[in-house]
Amino acid sequence: MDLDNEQVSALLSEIGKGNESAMKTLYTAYSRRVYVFAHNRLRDHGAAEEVVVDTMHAVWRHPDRFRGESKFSTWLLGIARYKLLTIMRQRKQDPEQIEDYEDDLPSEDAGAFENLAQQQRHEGVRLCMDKLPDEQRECLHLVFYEGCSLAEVATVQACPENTVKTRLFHARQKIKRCLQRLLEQEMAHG
Amino acid sequence: MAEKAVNLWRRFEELAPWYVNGTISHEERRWVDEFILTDRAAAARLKWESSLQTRLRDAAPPIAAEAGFERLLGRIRAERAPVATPRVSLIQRLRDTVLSLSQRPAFALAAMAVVILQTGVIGALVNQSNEQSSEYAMTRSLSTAAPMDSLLRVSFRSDTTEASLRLLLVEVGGTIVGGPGQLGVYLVQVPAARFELATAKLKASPLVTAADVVPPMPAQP
Repeated sequence: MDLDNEQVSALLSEIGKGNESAMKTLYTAYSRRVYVFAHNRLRDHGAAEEVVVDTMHAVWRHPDRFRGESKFSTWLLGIARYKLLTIMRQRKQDPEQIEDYEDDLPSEDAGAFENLAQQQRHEGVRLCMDKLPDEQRECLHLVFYEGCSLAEVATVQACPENTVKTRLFHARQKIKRCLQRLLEQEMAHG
Repeated sequence: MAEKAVNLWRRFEELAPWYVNGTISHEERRWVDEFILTDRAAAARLKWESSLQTRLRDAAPPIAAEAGFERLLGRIRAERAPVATPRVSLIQRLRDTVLSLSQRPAFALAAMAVVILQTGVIGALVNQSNEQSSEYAMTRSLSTAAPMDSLLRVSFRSDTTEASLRLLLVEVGGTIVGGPGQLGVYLVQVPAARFELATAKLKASPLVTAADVVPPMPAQP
């Protein structure tokens, strides 16, 4: 359930008066998105849920800080990102990363992409996503799961738009190569 | 010519994700639509990116929309409720007075100590009586408000902060319904269904010096 900014503003106004029911409405509308965003980065159910509660608690305490200059979800994910980075700093997470490959294969072959589109499965996508550097994985999530625009991704990730473009380019290249290799391995093993 | 093709491809690649997620401008969408008509590889690439989007959305972990809301409510309510700070008891005040007399001449100190000790003994007896009677009054007043098997008499360490006390109560699902008495004892009500678990948690907490079950009141005639 997506709420427009006007609906959100009305709820935030009620939350400012201590209305728990309004908080519940807002929570159920957005908690899942915050959870998936946090889980994408943290890969831990408990920690992701903690981020949700921390983020929504921040909204409860300061509902007036949302000024309607962006979509509410963009603002909310920005808070969530700050909360999860705090957790990651405490955990000092260091994910295994996909090596950078030279562009030496005819990767833009139409047949290869058609094949990949048909064959790639959830598990393969999740496995390859897990191997991306955090910022690139987060960028892909914001673009393809959240449906954020370039400007919105830049806002959430607190970086210039050109940085988003670079991250997105490299992330897609890496995912593509990772999925191609998984497919080749599958075919090799029959 | 080749450079132009490379530039066109680069532009296409830059626009592809925004085309797929629907945030592209009308003008850029028209450009991509025309480009993929002339380039089969581009059309296949768009199809792959669209498939990637679908797979990413399908791979999202399931979670109920209300998961974690009760915890949030617990925090919100814990922040709201005020907590009375434990009053200093008569015994503690007498103790502090004796300590402050440590600089006085010995004979005056000795005389004063005898007087204070006697006062202390009397005071303790009075306090105990008051404590019991005030607790009696508190529990009596609650006899219609709460099931009598869900009350605990709890003493907290003197250095317990309000925030940590509140957090502990949220964890055990408890509510302060009386106190503090003269000796700093609180009456804490916990849900009957969680009584045993709550009691064990309170007793195990480093913040709690004592946690005793309040015996049920005899039925009124």
